[in-house]
Amino acid sequence: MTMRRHWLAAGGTGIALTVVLSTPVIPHAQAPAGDREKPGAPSAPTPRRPDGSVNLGAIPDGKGFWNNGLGSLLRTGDRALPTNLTLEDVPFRPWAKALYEFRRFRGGLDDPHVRCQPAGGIRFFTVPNGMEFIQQPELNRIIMIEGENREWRRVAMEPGRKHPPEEQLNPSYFGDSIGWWEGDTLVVDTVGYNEKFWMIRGGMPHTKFLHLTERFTRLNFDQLKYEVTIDDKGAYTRTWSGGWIMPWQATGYDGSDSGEIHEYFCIDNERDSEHMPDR
Amino acid sequence: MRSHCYGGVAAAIALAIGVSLPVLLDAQAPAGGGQAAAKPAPPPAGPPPRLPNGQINLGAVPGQKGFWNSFNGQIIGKTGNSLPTNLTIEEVPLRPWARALYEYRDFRDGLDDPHARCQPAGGLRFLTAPNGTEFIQQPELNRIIMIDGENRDWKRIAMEPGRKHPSMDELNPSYFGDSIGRWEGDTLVVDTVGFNEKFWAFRNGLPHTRFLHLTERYTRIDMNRIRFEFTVDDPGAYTRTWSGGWHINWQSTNYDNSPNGEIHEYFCIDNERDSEHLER
Repeated sequence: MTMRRHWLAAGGTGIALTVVLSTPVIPHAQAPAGDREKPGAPSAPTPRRPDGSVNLGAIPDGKGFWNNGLGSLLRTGDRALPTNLTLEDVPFRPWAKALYEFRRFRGGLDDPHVRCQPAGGIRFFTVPNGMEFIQQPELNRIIMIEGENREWRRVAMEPGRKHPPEEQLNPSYFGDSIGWWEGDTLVVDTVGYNEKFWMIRGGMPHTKFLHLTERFTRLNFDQLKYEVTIDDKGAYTRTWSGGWIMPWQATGYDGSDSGEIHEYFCIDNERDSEHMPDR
Repeated sequence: MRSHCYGGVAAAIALAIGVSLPVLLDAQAPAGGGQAAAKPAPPPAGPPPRLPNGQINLGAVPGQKGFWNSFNGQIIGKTGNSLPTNLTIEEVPLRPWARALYEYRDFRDGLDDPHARCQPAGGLRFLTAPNGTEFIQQPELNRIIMIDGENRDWKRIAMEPGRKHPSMDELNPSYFGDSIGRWEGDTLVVDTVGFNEKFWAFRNGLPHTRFLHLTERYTRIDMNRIRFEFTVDDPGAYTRTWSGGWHINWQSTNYDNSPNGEIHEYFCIDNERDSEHLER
């Protein structure tokens, strides 16, 4: 019993450390971009590329990245969209609700990401260390890169592209993503997930039937609205949606002035899993 | 028990070879695929493509796909796709401790390789891990991003004119280090320092230390090939600088030979089943 308490306390330390590490980042993330000095000053407008499309990245000769990491699908925190559901309204199937409650009861100890599994699904946007979009219209794709484990995923932008048929999909962490623009919003449609990860920080369950529709709208220079619709008949009784605002960060993750995503590898720092219970 | 352990590793290696064999053949096939796999390497296909700004394009041309398959790169020796100027192992200016360590790693047949335990592919390892590599040139952002199929890793090459490495005491030792690039004519030159010592920078287990300073030169000599040259400057492990290189082949199919030319998803940690059975 004392053993067990010890493990849980260690988990709590990890969480506390994460919070401490993230806190100094937030003021920078909300700081104005470019030469605007006053915190809280209105953001510059949404930047555009030479072809007129929205630029989801830094402007020429600029730097910076999106500070992912703190989003929630529920109605919690300053960044959550007002349309987000409360936990009670999430249309869990009974097994999924029970599993979610168990994961919460365990305080996240069973999270595969803690054991350095890739940040699939919505988790890509709920891990720390920053992310960027690289738009390559000439190659009909958008590459997303992130600091967490230096991972990247591809969004295929070819007009008319379809997902492979279900029997040809190789279930994966990032799935098969197809994107298109609806006005100034990038819409990304993804299927083909495996079940080896938690689709979002906190442990809301998903199954191989997960079909995500993500909508990225750069509201202004400093804010990216992220909305996602979850369609997973295995875990939920109907589709449901949620989202949050991701802030632009023009500094390094540690507050230094680089604006460049740093190198972070979970596996390099992973010291805990062998001490965790229930292997 | 012991033979069982080795058996497992041997099976894994056999599997790896089985998986890569068709790829090697395909990488030597002409762009656009085809059934030329068993024939001698085709003649070079067309001049290297360029970006609208005149720079060499190290990626796919607009509307097309593909990636670089550098899995079979030869760091030393003169076989395969190696450059004729490559050293033999006897010629590599190893310090005595480094030679002894290299020989031990060789004797152990790679069992101690951190990459086999899913550590990131730092240094030259970025190129010689399987699953494909691409360059994403962003001159407007003064950088080139390299992406790798292996563990879906990426690294940044800073291209700002006049950029310097941080001072030694400010460098945070890392797997990918601090990379600064520049164009010398049509050759991309990448200068990297700031490596940690937690990985094998070379697939064959040649040692390095935190003093490693790597210079890489990428010259796309035609549509289908990059001449890759590297210089190792590491006074910790070597008595003088030394160089080598190979030709990197373009692949316009998927890694498993199906059509498309897109880098697939591979995560070592997802498949890692062996490390607890390896001898420690």
